[in-house]
Amino acid sequence: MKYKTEKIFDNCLKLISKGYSVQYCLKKYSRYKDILEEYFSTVKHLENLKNVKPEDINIAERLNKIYSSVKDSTEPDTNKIKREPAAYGFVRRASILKPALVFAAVLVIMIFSFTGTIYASQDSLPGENLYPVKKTAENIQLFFYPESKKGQLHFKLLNNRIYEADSLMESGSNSDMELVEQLLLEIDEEYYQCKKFNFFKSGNEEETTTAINNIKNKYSSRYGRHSQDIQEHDVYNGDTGESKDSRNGKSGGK
Amino acid sequence: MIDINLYLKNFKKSGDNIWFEKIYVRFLPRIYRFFYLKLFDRHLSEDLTSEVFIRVYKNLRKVNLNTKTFQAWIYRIASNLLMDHYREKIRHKKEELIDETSDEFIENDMLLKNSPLLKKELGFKNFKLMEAMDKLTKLQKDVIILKFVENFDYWTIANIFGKSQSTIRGILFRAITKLKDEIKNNRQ
Repeated sequence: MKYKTEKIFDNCLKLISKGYSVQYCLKKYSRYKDILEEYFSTVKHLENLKNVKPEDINIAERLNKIYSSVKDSTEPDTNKIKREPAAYGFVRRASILKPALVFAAVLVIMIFSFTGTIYASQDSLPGENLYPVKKTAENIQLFFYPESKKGQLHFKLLNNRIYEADSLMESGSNSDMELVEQLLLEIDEEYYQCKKFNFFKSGNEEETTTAINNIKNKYSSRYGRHSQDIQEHDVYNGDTGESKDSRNGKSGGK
Repeated sequence: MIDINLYLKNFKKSGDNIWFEKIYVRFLPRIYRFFYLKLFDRHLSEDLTSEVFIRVYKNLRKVNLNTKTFQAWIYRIASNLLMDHYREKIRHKKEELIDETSDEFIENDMLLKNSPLLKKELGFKNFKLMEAMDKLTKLQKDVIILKFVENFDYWTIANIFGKSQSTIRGILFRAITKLKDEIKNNRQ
């Protein structure tokens, strides 16, 4: 019943808002006339409140007051502590974070440029500016490489040295001879390391020794000097330790 | 109500105060009534009404409104201002009120304090009606005034209080039923 009354009362309000009279509603819902009359009598009471109005006031004066107060509030007051909008908080915090952000940005740039330099140095040859970077990167790699896989890395380095020596001899002039000689010593050293870490167990020793011999032969024909001379020269100059002497002797025999 | 749309449009376009003044004249009695029927204090209602229009004047250029949304907006400003006033009052009265720091209590308090003057200002009939309305909750009172005194539709009222139209419809029916019964009881 209550729900139905609510619905009928609501329908009546809709009709009235569309311009129908209260009488029309009462007639339409004649079964509920008594209860609706009570409701509309209350509504009529409420409508009397429309008579509540402000006392006679000077509108122009009040408007001027509004305009002047708005004007005052828009002018900056130096005595007042300025309240910052909430969004400024982030900006302020950001200014504190600024050094940290700059540091992070510099770090990122450094990491990128360092990685880029290392990457670019991979194709460098002895005598070039980036070659020391390549060597340093290799040494670091060797330092951190697991012991079990060091043979594999030495083999990779051996191939690098062979490639470098070959490239130098292909493109370089006679002035590169010392660099090639140094590379040949390094090739022997890497070959020894590969053997030390039993890398050649897998069976590619023959190919490697052929490649080493080829590069040494190329050196001999290119500069008219035998690779044995380098080793002797090295040994007699005492540049290497005793163990290395014996190693050179070993590799020289191949 | 088409002209309000025109006033809003022209004020935003030209910034001429003459359009704001037209809006002011139209809404001044309504906003005043909104405050007065809760505070029963002429001076305070006038001050708060002025404050509403200051806020409206400050922000009217920044918002995009039509007649309907403007009505909801201005009454929302008034409603927020009233809440601020209540909070301020509660802060001042905290020691006296202790547990009775509700908005309803303050409204009833105002009605009781000003009753002799109000009988004169409102008229005896309206005063009795306001007394009967005291039994309603604050929201019921607001909804009933906005619907039957200000003739707002459900959409606008729902927008002012941030509730759904069906909720407002329910609140309105419960309020009018309670008020009807209250008036009936007072007569007997």
